[in-house]
Amino acid sequence: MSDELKSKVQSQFGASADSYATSSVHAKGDSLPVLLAQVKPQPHWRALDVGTGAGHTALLFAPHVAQVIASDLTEQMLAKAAELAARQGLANVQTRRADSEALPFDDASFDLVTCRLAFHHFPNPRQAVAEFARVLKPGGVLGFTDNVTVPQKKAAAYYNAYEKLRDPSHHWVYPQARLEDMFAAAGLRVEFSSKILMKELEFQEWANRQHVSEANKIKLLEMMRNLPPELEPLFAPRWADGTLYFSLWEVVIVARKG
Amino acid sequence: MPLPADLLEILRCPYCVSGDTRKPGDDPGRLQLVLQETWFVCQEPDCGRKYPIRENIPVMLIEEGTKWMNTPVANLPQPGKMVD
Repeated sequence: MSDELKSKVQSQFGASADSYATSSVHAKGDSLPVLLAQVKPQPHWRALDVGTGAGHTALLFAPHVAQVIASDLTEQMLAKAAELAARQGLANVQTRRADSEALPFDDASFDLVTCRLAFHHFPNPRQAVAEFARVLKPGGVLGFTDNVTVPQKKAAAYYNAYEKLRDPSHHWVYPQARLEDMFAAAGLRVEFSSKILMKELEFQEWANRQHVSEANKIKLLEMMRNLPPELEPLFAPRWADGTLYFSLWEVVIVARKG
Repeated sequence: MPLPADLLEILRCPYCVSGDTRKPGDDPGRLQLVLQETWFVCQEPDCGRKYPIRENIPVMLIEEGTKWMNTPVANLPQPGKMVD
């Protein structure tokens, strides 16, 4: 990962560890039960959760597998994940500080690799996917979720500019088909690709989670008032109660190493 | 709490095991635990990267390992007393 983006990730998330531990999108979220149901974890599995953040996905899988390694670039997020694991009495969760694009593990080490709501921070996504494939055992499963955008290039760029203005460590959100292609190209056969899961967010809470300045909040609201038509169904902006509600699209993809 | 042995067994030097910098052989980047299990040292002959275990969390970042490449094992600090 580039040093510049890496330090942005560390400073953005180091300062936000607590709010990610309690964020309803991250702690609950419609994608978690879908991910669990589609992955079908087995009791003897060893799992790796890449970009674990406050560890929500690692903790979801921990009761269903033998061991989970939760990895993240940011020390504060891992401390939060370890704290939440201890509080839930989950003794089979271990933490490692690691870069998703240079994983510190032997080939074919894991039955399951999960990566949830983290991939859009990775500056070299193909390298990260190559690493997922490398550390998976033959027949191992990738359980993936992330936000997705529309396929039209200009609208996708507008979408990403909006997210980046809120969070400088945001790199790129892709259309669902691009993600599927990336996995297939790395030898990960897509076995499940969900319908779009819409999640509605309240603007202030969303912006404050990343400490957005008042000036940038004004710019973000302005962007939302001037959306390209292709993004209307995605963001579905709704002005009510003196604030803005808007949606993001998330998908769950499960792929298997051939 | 000691790190479980089977999870240590799969840990590798990220520089020597991944991407374009991967070393030849079928199991590159093996690590050795040193200094009362507070540091990992890459066993590849031309690497020398060393990774600290801070507050029970192995810091397996290439730039962290590179920082200590030229520091002899005997001169490594105690990870608990290191500041980022």
